[in-house]
Amino acid sequence: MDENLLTQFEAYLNNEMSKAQQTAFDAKLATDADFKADFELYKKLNNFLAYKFANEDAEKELRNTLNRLQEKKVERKAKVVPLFSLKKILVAASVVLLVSLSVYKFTQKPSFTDFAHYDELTLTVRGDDETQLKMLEKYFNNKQFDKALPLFESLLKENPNDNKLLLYKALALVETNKINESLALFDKLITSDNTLYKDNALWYKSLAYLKVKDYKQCKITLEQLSTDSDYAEEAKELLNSL
Amino acid sequence: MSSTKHKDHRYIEALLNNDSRILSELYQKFTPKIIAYVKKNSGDETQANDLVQEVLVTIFHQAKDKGFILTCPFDAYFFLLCKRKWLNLLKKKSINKVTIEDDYLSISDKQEEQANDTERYEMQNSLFETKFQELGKKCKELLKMSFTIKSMEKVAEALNISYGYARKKKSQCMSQLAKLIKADTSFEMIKNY
Repeated sequence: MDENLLTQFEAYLNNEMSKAQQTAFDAKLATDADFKADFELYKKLNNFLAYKFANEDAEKELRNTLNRLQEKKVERKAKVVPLFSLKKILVAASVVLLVSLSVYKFTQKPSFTDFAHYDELTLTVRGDDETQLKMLEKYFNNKQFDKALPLFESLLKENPNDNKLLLYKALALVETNKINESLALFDKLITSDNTLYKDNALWYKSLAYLKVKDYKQCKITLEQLSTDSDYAEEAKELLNSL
Repeated sequence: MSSTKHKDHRYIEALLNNDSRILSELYQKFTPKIIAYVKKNSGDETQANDLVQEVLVTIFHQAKDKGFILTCPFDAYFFLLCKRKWLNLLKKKSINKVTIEDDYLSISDKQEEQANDTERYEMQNSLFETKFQELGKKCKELLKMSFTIKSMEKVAEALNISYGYARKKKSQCMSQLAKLIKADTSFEMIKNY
């Protein structure tokens, strides 16, 4: 952008042009894309600088406030407790704890762990010697979900439509915080022609949302659960506490 | 764009009014999550606090400069901005051994759109600001004066130069600034903002 151009821009914006000059300028804006782009940039720069210098102080003041709030937070955390008052504080703290525990039930949102419990995974019948299945059972039932996942993976390769495996894999995914992946599996089960695991999928899908504190989706999912499902009772409790 | 104010817009107003009571609430409510995220991803608490401050200052400017109105919950919008800015910082430092914990967060289009808006605003401003700082001392001084005093006659008087020369100088400085900006690779990205 050369200076001549800038002088023109300035003159135009300051209304220092003759009528004829103005018309020529407008015409050029309408036809010359580069000229227009330069003019737009010039206007933006003007706005930016005018704003910047006018608000430097306001920014400083805001930063002061933010720094203060930050320090206050750190201080609160780092406060050293003198030894002699430690006992008193402990007594007071236990009282507070008792009180807050009783309040807790009424004020806190329910959490994933309040509701997540699974039936034991059984895949093999007695006498079966399917090592992979046995290992998978063991890992899942011992809550070693990260170890269970690769086994799900390889078993599902052979039986991609085994809904029970799909359901338990989804649970392992929730437990290992792979929520998005688990949601896809739940949806697959919910929309599957085989409705055997539909209720399980809906219930645990709602818990997946609960785990990431997406209470809205949790609620929406719970409301799809039929009232005669095995989970109806717990679902009602959860819905009421959301 | 529809612009029905979300009730959380009060946090934006608190930034504009430097209202430390509500800002303190904002810190308590929203920053622990960000600090945890940064810590999980190769950072420490000080860096997290700096990050939070930069994002809040950007939102403040966007609101003051462009009348930004929050139409979605603050939580997801703010977290998304912090998260993206942190990832950009990591990328710049080219720390390779980063394990990014993929935090799941339900994000609506609106929240994403608002965060993108703020991001574009920040991108433009930081490009302009960086390039302004690259100008020579004289240019910076002259531009600052001409934008704060506004009348070029008075600027010329204060600098003890002629009016014509002051205007010419201002044009030169602006032209240099524009050139620096256009030559930067990130200019293409903000051109149409």
